[in-house]
Amino acid sequence: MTTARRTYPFARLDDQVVEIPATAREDMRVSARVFADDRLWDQIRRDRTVDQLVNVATLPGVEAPALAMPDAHEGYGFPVGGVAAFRATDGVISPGGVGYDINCGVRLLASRRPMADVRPHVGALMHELGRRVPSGTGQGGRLHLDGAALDRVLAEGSRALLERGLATTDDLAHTEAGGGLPGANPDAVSDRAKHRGHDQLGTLGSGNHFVEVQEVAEILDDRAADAMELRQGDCVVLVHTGSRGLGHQVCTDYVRAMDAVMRREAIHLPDRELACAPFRSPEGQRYFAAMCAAANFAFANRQAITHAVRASFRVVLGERVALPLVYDVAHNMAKLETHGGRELLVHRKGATRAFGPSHPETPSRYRAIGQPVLIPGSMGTASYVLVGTDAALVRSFGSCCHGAGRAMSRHAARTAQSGAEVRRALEAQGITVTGAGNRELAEEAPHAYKDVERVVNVVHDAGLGRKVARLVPVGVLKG
Amino acid sequence: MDGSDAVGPRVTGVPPRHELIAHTAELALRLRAETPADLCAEACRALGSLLREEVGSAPAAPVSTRTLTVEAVDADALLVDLLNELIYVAETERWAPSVVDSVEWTATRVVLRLAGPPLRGTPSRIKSATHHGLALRRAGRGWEAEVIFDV
Repeated sequence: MTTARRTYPFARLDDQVVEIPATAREDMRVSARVFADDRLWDQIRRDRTVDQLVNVATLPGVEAPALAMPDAHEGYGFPVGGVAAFRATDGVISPGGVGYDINCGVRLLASRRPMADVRPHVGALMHELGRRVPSGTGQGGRLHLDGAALDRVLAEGSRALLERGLATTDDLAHTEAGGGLPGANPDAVSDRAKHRGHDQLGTLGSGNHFVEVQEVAEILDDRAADAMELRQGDCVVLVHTGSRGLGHQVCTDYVRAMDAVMRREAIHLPDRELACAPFRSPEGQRYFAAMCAAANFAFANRQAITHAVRASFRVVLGERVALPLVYDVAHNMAKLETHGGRELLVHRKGATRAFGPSHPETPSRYRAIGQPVLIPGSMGTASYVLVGTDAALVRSFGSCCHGAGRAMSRHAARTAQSGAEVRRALEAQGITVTGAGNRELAEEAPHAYKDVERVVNVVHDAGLGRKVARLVPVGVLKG
Repeated sequence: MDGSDAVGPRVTGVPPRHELIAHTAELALRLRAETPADLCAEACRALGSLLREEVGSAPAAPVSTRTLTVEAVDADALLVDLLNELIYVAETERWAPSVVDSVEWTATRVVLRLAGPPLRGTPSRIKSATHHGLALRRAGRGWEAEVIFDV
């Protein structure tokens, strides 16, 4: 983009936090903070991440500070890796602050079986997963929903899949918000959005979405790993996808609708993609209801894929693999939460909720350790399991990073290494890749991302999360 | 922007063109043309090309035409809404334009007659066109815009 990147005064508060003061630009209402060590801060300053974070700090009703996680990079409107909390009383809600892939998120399934038992079957397993989980430019999914069935998914999320035999009560207990946000209203979702989503439940989509078969390479916190039933050497499965075309259309519809609201409310923004409405306005409430519905669709989508993953394991490995859900966390969401005794609407765009042991929304199974936080790396590097902390509630509105974070444009990634070379390199590491063409592989290559170890160390050292286990990929089904 | 330079396609001194430009995570497109109408036409061709690059054209399928009418509050929103309309059509009808037969443009309304063969699959890579940093602006003797797509 030709828009000039601006530089801002900043101060390093400690080894993990850089602050841009509220005086850095005349329209800022609050300060901004970036969780990053020196090297990540250098990377983050190369694109427009900081400009976009400063823009967020200008929005009405924003609480100090606006935040960026160490995996942050330039997005549109909010930076990816951005967290901002708005007062429910006089703050705004921003569709662009949630993003187009509403409730894009990750879930982890534990097999309780050693990878040594699974590894000889990985080729067959990836083939079966590719057959059962439509990916990439794929066709509609396995579940075609009529109007009433789709409305039920939008209203209830994963719970709507219970009687279809695609979910268990245990799954719901280990999904953020129980797999269903109570504020959802299917009537707030347009017919266009429903049309896009009616045959997409159970599909991965494209880009950085995936199903990965992984091995627990290292346990870093025995007590927390025990609570999650993770053992060194075990096979686990990580699923990453979101609300597909339905969520994209909800965001498109409401960014458009906010134009009129901003004129009426005389809200002036530095970036039109930050389009927003007062949360308490009719338009704000309607977007919130639509966003919750799209988020429920995403929870159900990951649940439907979970069913397909379990079926694939049964076909290839027999009935003995149960694959219980460890946890499911959202990345792109705005949620009403209480922080410091105040009701805030916390926008996380490319960021993970990371509630600690004392938070009432942490599931009872994890009340002693904190909510699981899942940090996927790139397809050739490690992923991490962490737990949220009570300190995160104070430092980051209970938020943590969501991945390694892109460091390189898709074009630059393709130029640096061809898809065929990436595939060969992954195979040399013993990683089976399926579902993606060479172009997608090149764009999602490990070198296109930041160093996940460094990113995770920052959130661990900053006290936003605590490392529990390190996972390495064995088989990748790419979207 | 004034809405007076409504025109159809024509042979111009600024040939319409598009190019991908750097963005860390998303897909960013720079468009250039002599008039805003030509710019909208080029935007359709560019997006059609990106969608076709993802899934390909259906083999031996006949070219079909369709007329697209989009209205918005201003020229910037018009361009974004037009592109989002094409994304919607591509995902739900497996169709994208390869040729723009005609354009009628004002700053708040555009009518395009588009032609192209059906797509071979359902594209899912491009989620939406965004307003981020978008501004139709005069550049030399023509017009220019940069659009970021969420991918």
